Amino acid sequence: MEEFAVGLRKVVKFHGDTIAVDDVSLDMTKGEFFSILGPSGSGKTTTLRLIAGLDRPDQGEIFIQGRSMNHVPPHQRPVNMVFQNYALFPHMTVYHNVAFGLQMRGHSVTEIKSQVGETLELVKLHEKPHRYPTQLSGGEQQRVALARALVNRPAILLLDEPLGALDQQLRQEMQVELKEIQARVQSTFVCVTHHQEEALMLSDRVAVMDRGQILQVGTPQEIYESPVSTFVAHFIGLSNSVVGRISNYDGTMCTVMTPYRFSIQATTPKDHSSAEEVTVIVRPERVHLSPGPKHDGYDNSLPALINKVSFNGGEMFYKLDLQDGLVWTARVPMALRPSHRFQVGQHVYVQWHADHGLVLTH
Amino acid sequence: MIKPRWVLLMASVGAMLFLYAPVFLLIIFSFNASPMSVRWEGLSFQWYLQLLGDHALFEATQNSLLIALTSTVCAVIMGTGAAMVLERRAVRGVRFLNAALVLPLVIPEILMGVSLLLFFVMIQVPLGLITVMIGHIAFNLPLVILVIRMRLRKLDPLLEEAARDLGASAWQTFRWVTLPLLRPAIIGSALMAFTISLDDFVVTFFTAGPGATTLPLKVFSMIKTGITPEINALSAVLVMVSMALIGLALILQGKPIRQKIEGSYQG
Repeated sequence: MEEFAVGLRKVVKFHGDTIAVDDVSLDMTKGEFFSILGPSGSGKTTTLRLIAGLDRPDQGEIFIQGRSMNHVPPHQRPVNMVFQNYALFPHMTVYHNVAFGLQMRGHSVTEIKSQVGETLELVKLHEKPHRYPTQLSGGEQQRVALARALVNRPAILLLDEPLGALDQQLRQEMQVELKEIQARVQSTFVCVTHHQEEALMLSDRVAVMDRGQILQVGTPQEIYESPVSTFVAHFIGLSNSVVGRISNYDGTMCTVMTPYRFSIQATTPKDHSSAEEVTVIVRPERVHLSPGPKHDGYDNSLPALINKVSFNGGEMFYKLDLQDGLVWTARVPMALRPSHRFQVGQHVYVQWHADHGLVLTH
Repeated sequence: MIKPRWVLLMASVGAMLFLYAPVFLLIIFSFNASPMSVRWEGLSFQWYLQLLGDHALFEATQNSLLIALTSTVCAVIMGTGAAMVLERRAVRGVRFLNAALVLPLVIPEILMGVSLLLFFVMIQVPLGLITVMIGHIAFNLPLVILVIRMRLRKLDPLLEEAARDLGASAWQTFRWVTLPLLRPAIIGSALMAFTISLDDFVVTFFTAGPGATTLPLKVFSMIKTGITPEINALSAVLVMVSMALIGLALILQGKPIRQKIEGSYQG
């Protein structure tokens, strides 16, 4: 049997009468960066606390490195946590905050000195060991929290919204740094976040969680390109959707009749019965805009009116009115020819390939 | 027309006068040369000298300090433990306990004194220093619990969880994280408890037996035989000590929680 870094088996946790974690089973492989992604209140932080031992599961079992953790208190687990608001000790300097774990485990003074120094260097804080947490910026506090956990060389590092309190630019810098640090220490990182971009950027694998349940586990690409449900599709990245019924299915290609004055061609690997209710999802970057109805090999082509244009530096975002309040978004890279630029009020054709339409049943 | 600013100023001056004029008068008359307390007959330190030579008074002071110190230490240790349990554990019947803990703060002191006396008599404990100490612990405990609970409530429980996560046992967590962060509240409540204990008359009166005369009891018995400026001098010293302690308590509670922990953490 392969030994997983962390294994959850049918774990259930109640908060009073509400179920916070609902029959969750997960495996995290040694050395991977695993993210649990979900909206607030989805039970992701509770899952992390269960792994850390700060909460006890009501049912089910948690394994760490093959050992059952059900009767192991938090201070005896090979796990350390970076808390959401860092929870740095306000009465201790940076040095003492980082040294705390080693001191509690009774390491010698010289050993503590060298390891704390090393770890502070890893997070680039070696110049401020005598500062108190209140004298540090948000980004620096975040690094102290990281160092305080990493210095113990945990087999598993748990991160609760690690970059949540940082501003956009710092967040992006820390994303890169976090990846580098993980590559150097080679621990298993388990990260909880509601920020889908962060999860996709950082993780080797992602679990999408909602209302206490795991909806899908996979690599970022798998989750983005083949979401199992409309919830996952909408939660991960922007998506355009339209509901309809299967009218014609030949094993790979299907025609979806929509309540609007058009039907859609889409490929789907799943078996569908006729008249089955489905949602078709098309990612904004898969949408091609054309000034005329010419198909150019696209399976779908629908007329639309440009409603709004915005620009984020690398891409143009077009808001498109299709029919009767159906609004889609198209994302067009700036690198494309200027002939692909449009103005508000212009009539265009929205085009895409059949295999870029995802057919989802729930 | 009088500006509202002046009205406020006069009101505050009036309030301060009302509070402190008798105390100042008492202190001033402790330096009076006359043995009669009401007429000023020149500056003198003779009453303070007489105070120093009074053996019975010295013994009463000793008793008072011993009782205050013992009851404060006991109340703080018990109170910290109780506050930790009440704030950090899911305790059954917490609402009842809350009410039960506030009650001693509001019931008349005389009632507490009488009930303690009846209790000691009933269980046949001879009245003495020990019974006074127990009485003082009884009225100081709710106060200490209240102050420390307030502080604990403001303390992020995540700090304690972080310590546990970093490998600290329950005791280590308390010793190195909770206790240092509670220190201002502990010192503040200890100083308040000490002061109240030192000044207490009613509970002490009911629970003290022979040989357990405290300073307030001694002053009361001295008044019965006529007021001499020696009492003024004694009161002046008591006022100074009490005020100094209260001032220290306020300063320490207001201080930001930050301190260096040097040396090793093993324990």
